[in-house]
Amino acid sequence: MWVRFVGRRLWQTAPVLIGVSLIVFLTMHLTPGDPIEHMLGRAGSVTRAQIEELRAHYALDRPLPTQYALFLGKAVTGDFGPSYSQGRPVVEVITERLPATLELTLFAFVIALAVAIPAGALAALRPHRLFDRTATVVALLGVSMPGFWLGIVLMILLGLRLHWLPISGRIDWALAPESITGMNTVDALLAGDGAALRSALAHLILPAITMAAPMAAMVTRMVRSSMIGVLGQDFVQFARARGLPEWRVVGKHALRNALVPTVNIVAIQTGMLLSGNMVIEAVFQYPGIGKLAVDAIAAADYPLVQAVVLLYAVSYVGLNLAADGIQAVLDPRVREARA
Amino acid sequence: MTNRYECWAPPTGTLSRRRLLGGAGRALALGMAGPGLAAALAGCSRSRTRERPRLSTDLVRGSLRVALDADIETLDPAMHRSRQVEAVVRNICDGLVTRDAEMRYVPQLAESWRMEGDTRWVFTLREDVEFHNGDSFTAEDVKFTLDRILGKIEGLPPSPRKDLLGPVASVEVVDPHTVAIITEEPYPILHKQLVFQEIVPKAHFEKVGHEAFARHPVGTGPFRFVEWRPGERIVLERFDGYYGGSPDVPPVAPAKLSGVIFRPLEEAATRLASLEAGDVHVVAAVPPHQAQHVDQMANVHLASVQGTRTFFVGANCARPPFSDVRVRQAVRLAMDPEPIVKQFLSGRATAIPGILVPATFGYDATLPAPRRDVRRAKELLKAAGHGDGLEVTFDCDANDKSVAEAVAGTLSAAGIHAKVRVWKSANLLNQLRRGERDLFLTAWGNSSLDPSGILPVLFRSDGYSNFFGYRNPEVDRLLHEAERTLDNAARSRKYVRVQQILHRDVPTCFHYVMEELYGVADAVENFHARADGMLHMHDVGLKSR
Repeated sequence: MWVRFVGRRLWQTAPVLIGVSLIVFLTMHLTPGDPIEHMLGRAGSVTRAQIEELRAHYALDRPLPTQYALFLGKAVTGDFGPSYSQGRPVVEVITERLPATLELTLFAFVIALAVAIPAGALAALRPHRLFDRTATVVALLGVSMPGFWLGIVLMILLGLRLHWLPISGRIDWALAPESITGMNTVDALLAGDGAALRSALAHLILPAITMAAPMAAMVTRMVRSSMIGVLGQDFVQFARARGLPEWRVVGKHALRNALVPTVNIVAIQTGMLLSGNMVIEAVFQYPGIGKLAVDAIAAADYPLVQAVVLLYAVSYVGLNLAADGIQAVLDPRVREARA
Repeated sequence: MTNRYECWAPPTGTLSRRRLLGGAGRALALGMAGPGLAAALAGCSRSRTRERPRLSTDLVRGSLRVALDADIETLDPAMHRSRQVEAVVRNICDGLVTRDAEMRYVPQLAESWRMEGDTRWVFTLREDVEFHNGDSFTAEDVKFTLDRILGKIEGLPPSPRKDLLGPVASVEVVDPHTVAIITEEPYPILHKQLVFQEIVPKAHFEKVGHEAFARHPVGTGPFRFVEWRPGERIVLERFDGYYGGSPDVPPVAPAKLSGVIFRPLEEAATRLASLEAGDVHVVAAVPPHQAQHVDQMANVHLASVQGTRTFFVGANCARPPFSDVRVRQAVRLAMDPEPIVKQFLSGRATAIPGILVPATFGYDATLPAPRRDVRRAKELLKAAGHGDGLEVTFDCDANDKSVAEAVAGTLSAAGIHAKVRVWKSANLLNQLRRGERDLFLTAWGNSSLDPSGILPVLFRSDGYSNFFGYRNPEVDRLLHEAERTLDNAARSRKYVRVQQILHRDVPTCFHYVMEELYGVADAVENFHARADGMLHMHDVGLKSR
């Protein structure tokens, strides 16, 4: 049953990815900006013959449908070709930057849930009281503040004014834990290097908070409303009637049930975390996938942009798939409906 | 002190805190990330079997730290047109020829050169030079390096630096330390153009391939490559086996610094904040309006030099209204460049009479400085049939907006009403190439400081960046001849003539050149801002704090 379920979902993914790649391909080619222009810069004695040669090499002189077919033919085998601007295979370029983004996303994810679940649950316990109203306002702010704005405000306040936290990069100049996983915090732990760990964490805080804000806000609201629904149900009344302590009623019976519908929104929001990293990594000059994507778009580096966007699409689809799976595990009714 | 980065595995037997943490961390690393990380880990364990990077805390702490204004996309000397990449690579890989701080051409890996006939240059190479991997430097490496750029090596992508070798036809190994370069036509500036090509080791390159080389370059330069974390930093370490560099640029010795770290910090504000905080020793590309702020920082000074990029107002000579030379002359007469660039670029720019910066070969010092004459401008406009005023759109890059607006302001006094329209740089460039814009402010760089690096590309009828639709058979002929004239005096005369014709035809006016500004910590010794934007760290020192 599981194999069929997953298999069907993966099969459904194929048209999504083809659609995404086609849209990206067309937008990249129809917007101004030319990879060869970027390659050659605005200086020196460039000749027309040289331009033609470079165009021919990268098949940019072929009709668009042919170019797309060439791209697709290779991409299905996992070969995205060399990046125009970096000259190395796109897959290698992305793999180098992936740990930085994974690390940041993971921290943002943990921060978001660590704030949202308790906040949502507490708000649900005393609806329309002070904590609930405050949480509502804060959540509204969290959802509506654009990431780059919050990022800049935090940078100015905590970085430039108070000098509490670094405002860009991943680690101090003078520190160098050997790159093993590529995640600085993990590498620092592996090397037992306390200074590097502190520095890596300090560099993560601002971008991770900026990234986590909208997700924390959405999840807080979701946990709250679903918790209110659950608290009114018979089994909660029954649990209380059995004389269970309130923290067990809330923390174990109610919260667990309230989290089932939350899984979906967490998955979608994690997808948003990934796509939001373009803006946030650019603001904090954090060298991950998002910064890479922004630079690739500026350089009209078609293969690199294609691959990064497909990676975003795959992780989005994968997260949704995972959400469905987790829901099925948590809730037998979902499982039975699918059987 | 033992080097803790040589090996992270703790000694067996004792259970240390480090070991405990290490184990826990590893489990965490494996547990929390998916296949991508597993692949990365696999990649890492493979690379551990190769030569280990000699990265150490001492190296990182003792290095000179340089903040660049752009990310480094590759370290392959042949696969870029980026000044920042060139500045980093030039510390790792030497060339046959180099320039000193005053932009004089001096031999580097070549000992000397001579011409045999008009099209054959013979270079004698130094014999005492080793690459960082221990290979000896020979004529084969020179041939391989240049052949690759010329596109003569199968299976490698074409190099965007090919035009920098002009009409070079072939390279011939005469003996292990003599190489002949044969050009299709006489090419008077070959030795100057070789400044832009860094020599790579043939055997090593063929072994690792171009993709691996781009990530881990090997050269004969004063520093060897240690580590590159893309988007984060590049660490170089002094190469103790360095032959000393050009004998014309003393001292001839290994570098003074133990290492150099380059870090891209694209936001100017971030670069300056890092400089002020003492995190970085040298900061490139200080914006003109921040120059004074940098100068006033404690323990920091400003280094500056006139750049090689000319900014200019261009006009489309191929369609009305600017197809009429009188209208173009009126535009020039309506403006007074010097006060505008001084005011809007904080005194860090200089108005120049023509497209060539004064340090260029063949620069015509007799061209008159621009002089404002609004009355004459109005007369010319009236004669051209625009007595009631002229409405035009004036396009510029976002970076040049304030200057463009000032220009538009002064034009209106003469009855030219220019509406400023701002573009993202790449988008404007495309339209300029297609000849779609009428009046614009843009720039073109020429670090070769030879007219052949800028005049043909902009003003020849078939010039790749002839934004002006400018067609003048005499200019075409003079440029063609000058590029093939070996006699310097005759060549210079032809370029002077071209400058005079351009002055008469006015495809461009309002020329100015900006200073290259660097913020430098006082602890840094012997750092010079260079017109070509290179950051040669060979002779630079760092006072220990």
